[in-house]
Amino acid sequence: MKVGWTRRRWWEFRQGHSVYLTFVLTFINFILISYRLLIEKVTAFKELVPDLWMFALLFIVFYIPAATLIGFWHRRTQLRVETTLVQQQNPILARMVRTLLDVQTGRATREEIEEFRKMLVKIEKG
Amino acid sequence: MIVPKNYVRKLWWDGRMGHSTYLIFFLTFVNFILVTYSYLIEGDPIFQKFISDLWLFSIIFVILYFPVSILIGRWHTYTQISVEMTIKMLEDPIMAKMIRTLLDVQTGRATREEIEEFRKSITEIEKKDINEF
Repeated sequence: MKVGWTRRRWWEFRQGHSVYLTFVLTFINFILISYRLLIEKVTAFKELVPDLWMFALLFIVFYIPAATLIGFWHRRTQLRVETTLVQQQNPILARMVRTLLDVQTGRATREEIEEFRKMLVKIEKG
Repeated sequence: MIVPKNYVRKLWWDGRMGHSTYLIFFLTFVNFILVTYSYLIEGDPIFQKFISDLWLFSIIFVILYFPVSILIGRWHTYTQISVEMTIKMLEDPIMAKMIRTLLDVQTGRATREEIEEFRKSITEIEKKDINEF
């Protein structure tokens, strides 16, 4: 299926934004808001981190390894729970696999196969 | 030092997952609490009567937000996801082509040329395998 030029660029723009650039925006927001509205107003915090750039540097140095470690744990433990929950809510894939199984075991009727094939062709054509 | 294949790419994935699935909540909550308190509650005589302090507002927000979010998420999981997966699968021509071709092979409807062409396109995708197993 040929996808239009504008649609491809729109996808690429969203990937660029949500997978990469959003980190810069989120981090700058968080650093500025936390520093100006919290650290600067509380004397105890201000004494610990007297400068915006020091806070920004400290934040980045701690945040990146923490995010990576938590993500590693997520990949090894949580991800399979989430894919299971999502796949259990995927009726079309279930129908596809079940129909293939029924074809293999001779349980599917000719009408059922034809109807299923029509649906697949319709999806393929878009 | 030999860096294992895809090591940096995996770290990048792990970092993004840690950020976007967990730590982002902390950043977003702190942002929301500070902005809302500073620009809405603080200085407003009505709000200040009920919420006199930033920390009190933070505690109330966190206590209310978690159960509300969990309830909405639960509804989403058991009702909305199946709608979204259906929409996605119905707009997934590659998956449909794979299943349809397997069906056609099984029922004897696929020609030798069609099977060969399909196999070629599958092999092209397979080349992107990161060989984890």
